[in-house]
Amino acid sequence: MTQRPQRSLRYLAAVAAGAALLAAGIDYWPTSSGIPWLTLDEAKHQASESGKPIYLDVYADWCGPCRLMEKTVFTEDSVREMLTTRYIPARLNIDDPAVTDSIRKKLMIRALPTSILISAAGLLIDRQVGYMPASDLVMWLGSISWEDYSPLQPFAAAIQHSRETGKPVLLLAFRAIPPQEMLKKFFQLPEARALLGRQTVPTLLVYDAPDEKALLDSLRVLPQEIPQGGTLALIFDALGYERARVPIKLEELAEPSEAVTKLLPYGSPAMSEPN
Amino acid sequence: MTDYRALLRVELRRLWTAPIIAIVAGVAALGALIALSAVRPAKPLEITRLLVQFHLTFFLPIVVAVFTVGVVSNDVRSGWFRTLLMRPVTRPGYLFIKMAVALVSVWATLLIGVSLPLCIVAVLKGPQLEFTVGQVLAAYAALIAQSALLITILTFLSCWFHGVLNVVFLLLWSMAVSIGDTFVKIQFWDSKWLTVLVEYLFPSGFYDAATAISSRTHVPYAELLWGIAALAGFAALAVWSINRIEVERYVEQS
Repeated sequence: MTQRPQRSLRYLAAVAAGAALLAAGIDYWPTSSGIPWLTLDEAKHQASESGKPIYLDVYADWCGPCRLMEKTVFTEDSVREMLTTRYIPARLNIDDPAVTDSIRKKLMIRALPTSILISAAGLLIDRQVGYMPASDLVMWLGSISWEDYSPLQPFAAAIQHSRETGKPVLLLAFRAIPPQEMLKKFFQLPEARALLGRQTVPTLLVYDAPDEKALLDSLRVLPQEIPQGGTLALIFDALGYERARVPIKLEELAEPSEAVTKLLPYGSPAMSEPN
Repeated sequence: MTDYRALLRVELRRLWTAPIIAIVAGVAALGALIALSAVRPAKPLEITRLLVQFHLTFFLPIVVAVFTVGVVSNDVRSGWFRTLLMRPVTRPGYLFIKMAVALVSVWATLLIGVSLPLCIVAVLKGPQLEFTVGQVLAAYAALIAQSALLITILTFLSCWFHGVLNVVFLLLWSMAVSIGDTFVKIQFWDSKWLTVLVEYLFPSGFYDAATAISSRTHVPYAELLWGIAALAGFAALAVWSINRIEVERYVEQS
């Protein structure tokens, strides 16, 4: 039996179409969070002048969770305050032709949205993938004590600084972006601060990052040498010769720290003199 | 109207058979067991989040499937649909009564079998309960809407598939979308068209709304509207489908 479309059918179809249009309008309507987003290059320039770290939001216009963060997270006062006072906020649109494959690999972008924290010296310190509610984002941004990272420099800059000052380089090699608890424990030890801040030029490299993997390969560092969840500490004198290679596990970072004590002799000025 | 009230009572009696009652009792027992193991005395308990997780991820789909398997096709096959059309009952009227009966039955089961045991265990075991009445009610509204959507989809599918196949089809559909979503996220995370396509392949508006309400991330206006669009769309498809079922011409009253 065929019948003309009934009234109920027409009403339901109209409700479906109307609700879908409204939903699409809310979803895709552009919003302004009031955050002064910069490009990555602009943010790096400002970071080197001000010493503030960078919060980088990697997104795409067609990414649902990215749009949700834009509408519900970046518009929150607590998030806006955190990003504008303690960080330099930057955004990277993955569809931008300027974002090449090498930039994607360097920043290790494998999903959207990705939030990346970059120190003032240009080191990738931490990342989070996926949608983050405002409270989680604020907690994460507030949990990083950036003053602990201030001695850290990128590898090339550390080598240069070492040549100029005669201080040895302390290279911390990690398998992946170092877990925050590891770095916090390491940097909070008085011996570590002495070693890092005064006696050496500290830097870190991550095996997961393609560029840094090449550097670690050239230094003959194998991933198996780096303890799981820990680090491999290497000391180079001012002439670039390797003086020590000490694996440090996460559980070793307790007072007193044998691992850091092992490194202390290598961090003395005498180590910078050639044999 | 009297005919529809009578039909409602009849359909409720027809639905609540001995096997269904046994299944519901099983669900209640399972709900109590899971509540006992999930609720820990030491931790403060976000009751809304726990309720939404329990319902959405496990109990709601199963209970909906129990009450909507062959919901229309069984009536057509047994001749009950033909019998009803001899009364002053329209096809859409029959359809909405079937869906209403399923919805009431699903929620009676979930409230008695899942929500009540969970709340009792939570209160008795003594952790600090964290909830607001408004949040709980809003979460339940989204869950009821989600169950209504699933019932509508299964009713529509039952107009085209015999017996248990409506449930099987929905299960395969949701599994395919879930697998596709994971695959796209891993292999094609930067593909605009695939990402957008996978987002809209399965209606999840009310599901996302319930999750947003329980985790207090934002007020889910867009998600609720998508859910309403899906509900109305599938209801329209169900009405269109019920009108296409052939019965003898002289039987149906206009």
